[in-house]
Amino acid sequence: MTSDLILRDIFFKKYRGDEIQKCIQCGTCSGSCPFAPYMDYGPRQIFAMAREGDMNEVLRANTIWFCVSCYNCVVKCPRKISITDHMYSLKKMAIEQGIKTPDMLDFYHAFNFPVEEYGRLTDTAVMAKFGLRHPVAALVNLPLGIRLALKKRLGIKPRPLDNLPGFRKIMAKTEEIEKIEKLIMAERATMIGKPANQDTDKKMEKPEGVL
Amino acid sequence: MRYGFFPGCSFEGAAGYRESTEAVCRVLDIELAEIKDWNCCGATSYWSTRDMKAYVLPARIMALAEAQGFSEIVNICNACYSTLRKADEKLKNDGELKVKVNLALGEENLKYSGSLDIRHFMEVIVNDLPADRLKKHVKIDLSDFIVAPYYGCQLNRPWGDMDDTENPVLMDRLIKRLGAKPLENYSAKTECCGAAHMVAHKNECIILNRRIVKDAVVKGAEVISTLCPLCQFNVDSSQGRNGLPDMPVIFFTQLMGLAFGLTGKKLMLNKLLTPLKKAV
Amino acid sequence: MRESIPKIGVYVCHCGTNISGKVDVDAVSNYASNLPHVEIARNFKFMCSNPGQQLVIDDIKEKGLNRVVVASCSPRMHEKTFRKACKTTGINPYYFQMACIREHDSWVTEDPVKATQKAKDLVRGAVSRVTHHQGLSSRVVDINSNVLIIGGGIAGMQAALDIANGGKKVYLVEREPSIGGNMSKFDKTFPTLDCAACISTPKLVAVGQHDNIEMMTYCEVVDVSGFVGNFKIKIKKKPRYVDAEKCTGCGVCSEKCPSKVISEFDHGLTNRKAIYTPFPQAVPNTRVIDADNCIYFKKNRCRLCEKFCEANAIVFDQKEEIIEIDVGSIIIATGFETFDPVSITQYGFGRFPEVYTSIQFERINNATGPTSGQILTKNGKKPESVAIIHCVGSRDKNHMKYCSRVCCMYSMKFAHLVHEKTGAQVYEFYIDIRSPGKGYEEFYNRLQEEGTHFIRGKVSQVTDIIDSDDDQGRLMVVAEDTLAGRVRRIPVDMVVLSVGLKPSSGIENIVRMVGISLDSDGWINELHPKLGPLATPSDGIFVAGCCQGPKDIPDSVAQGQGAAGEALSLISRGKLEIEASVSIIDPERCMGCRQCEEVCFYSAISFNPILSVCEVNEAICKGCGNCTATCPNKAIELKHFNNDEIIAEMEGLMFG
Repeated sequence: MTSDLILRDIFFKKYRGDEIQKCIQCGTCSGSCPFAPYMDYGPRQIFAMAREGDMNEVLRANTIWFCVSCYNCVVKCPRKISITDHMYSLKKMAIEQGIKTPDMLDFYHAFNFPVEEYGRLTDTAVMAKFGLRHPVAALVNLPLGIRLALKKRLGIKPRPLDNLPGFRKIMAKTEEIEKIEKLIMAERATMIGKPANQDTDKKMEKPEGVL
Repeated sequence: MRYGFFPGCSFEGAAGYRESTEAVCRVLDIELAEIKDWNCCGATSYWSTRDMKAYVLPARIMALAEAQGFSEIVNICNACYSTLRKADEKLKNDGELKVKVNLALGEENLKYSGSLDIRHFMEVIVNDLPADRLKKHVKIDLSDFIVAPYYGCQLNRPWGDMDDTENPVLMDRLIKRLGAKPLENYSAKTECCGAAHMVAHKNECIILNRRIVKDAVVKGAEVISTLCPLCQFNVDSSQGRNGLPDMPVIFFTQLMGLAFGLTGKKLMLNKLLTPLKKAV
Repeated sequence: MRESIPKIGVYVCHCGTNISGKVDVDAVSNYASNLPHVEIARNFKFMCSNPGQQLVIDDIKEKGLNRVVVASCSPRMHEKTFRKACKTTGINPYYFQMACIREHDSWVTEDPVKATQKAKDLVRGAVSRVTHHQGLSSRVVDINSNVLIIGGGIAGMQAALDIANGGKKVYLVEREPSIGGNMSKFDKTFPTLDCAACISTPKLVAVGQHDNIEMMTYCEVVDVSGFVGNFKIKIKKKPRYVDAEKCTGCGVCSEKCPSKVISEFDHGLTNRKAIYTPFPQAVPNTRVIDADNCIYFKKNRCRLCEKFCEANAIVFDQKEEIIEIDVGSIIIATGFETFDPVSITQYGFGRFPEVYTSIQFERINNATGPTSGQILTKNGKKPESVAIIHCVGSRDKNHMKYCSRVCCMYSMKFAHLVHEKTGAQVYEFYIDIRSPGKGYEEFYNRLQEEGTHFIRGKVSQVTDIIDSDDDQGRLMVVAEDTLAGRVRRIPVDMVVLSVGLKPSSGIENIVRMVGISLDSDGWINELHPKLGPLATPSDGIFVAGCCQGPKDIPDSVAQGQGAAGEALSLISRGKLEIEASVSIIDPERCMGCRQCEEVCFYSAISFNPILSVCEVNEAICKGCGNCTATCPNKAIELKHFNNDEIIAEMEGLMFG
């Protein structure tokens, strides 16, 4: 388990989460959140925990997965903190840390799959993929599925893009760029704490152009 | 009037959204020219799970639109509107990110330059069409038809620049121009429908949708008008379990079609899960 | 043109570590010692201290210095100090120049190397300039002992009384028909629960009756010219259409008046007539006709007030007057307004009838208000539960980022009134409880003991979407109870929004007229936030009360008294020494185009038709330099800022 403080450092520096230091804990975000009553902790409490370093608990709580991007909190926050964006960041961190996959994450994976495959999706394709992991949820939605099918609203396979190969190349290139970035950041991280470069020290002594 | 059009993945399967939009555009002589080879915008899923790809997907759509000569992208889904706008704003302000994204888009010889306006079709109808041009086509008297205007979340939040975030009025205005009565004191107009959580957290979402429907029922509306496929789906499909009378949920384009005298068949009203029973 | 061979002393201040922490002061003084005409260059820890000044004085005497440069803080801090030091040794104080290496250098430059270089450049510029300084003599002006106070609220009234009691004449200008300000609207005041009217009315009466106070109500200041000790003010006296000498205040006219106008004093809760006084204890009690809503003025009918007035006081053809007065100092006491929460749509103000602002709630509680002091909903019933929402518009980057200081206290006062008058349950939704004054924390404890529900959570929504059918017709307040860790939805009958304070409308005009500035929140900038709260950078202009920043009644009164002290201190000096920097027009070069006259803000230039040239009135000239820059023939010289001095400074700065 990665240490709390390292996780907080990642959140603050990589994801610009240090904005949450402005929070006055007024609670208007939790008050306006439609899913707050169902969360382990409301958004306010999550930020209180995150900035004091209880990051492991934050990433394991169900809060971040309940965020539905309604932006109610963002428009009301008196410190204008981009709460929804921080929720996205925390979700990505939880994925990176390999924390247990909650239902919503499975849903997102099911959503992403047809997009990566075909460039577009249909609701059925997503449900089908989701149902593989959550057969109960799939069964519960079966009657609804039948009603939709009867109304000819169920397209099964997504219509793939015309230039699917081109699209796939774009996605592959994106993955490549991200990988390079990660390597650079990792290298930078190891450089912190090393003694200063000999050359640069010399340069600091005598600046040019001074009377 | 010709606009670049981004339908999004939910346009096709929605309850008559496509058919009514096309019908209404024919009547008003508006051309919504579909952006060729558009891809899924990624919506909340990509924002939650991917770093750069979440920007590349909407950037590709915008780059295609630019290449095809459009100056605006008109959306019919709140999530698509929100995603495109959010990506556009972020890319405009982060030069480094823009460089990286364009590097990826270069694989298809596409380039994002941020020259587009991102819009929603409802707002286009209200802001671009003069009121009398709309009224000219109204054939049916809807003066005692009370419509609750339901906006959902991602149209006016977080920006709130084209309309108020808590008490928006653009669709109310549209309803009035069509000769119908917007439910004036509809307090649930921007309550959340639960969006994608309907799949994994159905029970909680039903409670949220109940609030949306109940306020409309209690205040005397006969139908809820909406402008996002997911909102329509959630509010529509969640009924029957909430101890309330049925409240049909239609798209604003279907309302427009009804006002223009188009048949229920043409507007595919039969695709609604909760039927619209009013004899119009 | 130099007056004598300069012998310059340069003194570089450490200012503790404010300067020396960033700038290498030794290097700078060493560098200075090698500049032309510099006899001695030193650096010292605190130049403004007695030993620091003594260094200068001793050097002048021993080394025969005739020019002094001090490189330290801003001239606004200590130019006077060092000029005085020079004067004590007998050299003209204008042979002194300051180089600002603190506010302009050490406080704003990150890199120490760059900062040291900049300090050297600035010193070099000052040394170059000071060689061209001329010996000038300050002007001495008389101080008019009259005082103008703009604003007749509690701060303005208090200042007026103190100055008047001190034997000096006060002009108290108030734009409303009556003095009294916001305090006259309140019911009770915290924490003592004194009746606001009971404690303020004696002040209003005292002001109205004082021989030394000329009360000018329903008037507005429209022009200010001149300078400290000698201001010329133009005041617009708006027509009341009622003769103040004859009106007895009987009120029959208002009874008979058929028109209905929304009452500003009651903040929209009731109507008044077109002929009215804002409240029963108004001072003066003269009626006023609101011409925009009077049927006679709009449609040339009615005239019932005239018909029924037994004193024949109605004068429909009264005209607006401009009154001119001379004063020596001005106190601005324009007070505050409340924030309009209609833009915070989630609180439903304007949508739901039972959502009130705090100032409206004050009117409800006040005995002269719409419900004669009872707390009733619009259907005439007592509420069973009331929510009071703190921080509406305040502490919010979307609206006003600051804390309005008084709302926590008045919110708790409301809680007490609700308990007392209705026995209802009161829910106070707060973020922090701010109760710093005398008796304030105890007041908070008292409210806790009274059973007020203090819920820590900023309200996210006031809605009519209820959970249970029992709550039909009520409002739901939704907030997270952050201390209990739950989201709560509480049904209430009435909601009071504790709105924040903002500066009174029209303050921009006032500050423009007197030449001072507003801060980023719109409050008047005081001279110094810690040590100069009542003065402004413009001599003779003082402030008191909320126009300087939100505050409660005790602080407003204290500031009113303080501003009176400032004004009386100025008056008791009798005379004032003014900066010698004035413009001089060379009549040989002047061609009489009069452009300088046009651009002079202070009307200090006039045209002499006999000589066909312009002349500067040195007594009024403020030395701004506008005329100097404008003159197409370069006929004007600004003393202490002439071309030689400025160019020398520029050359010194640029060429090392």
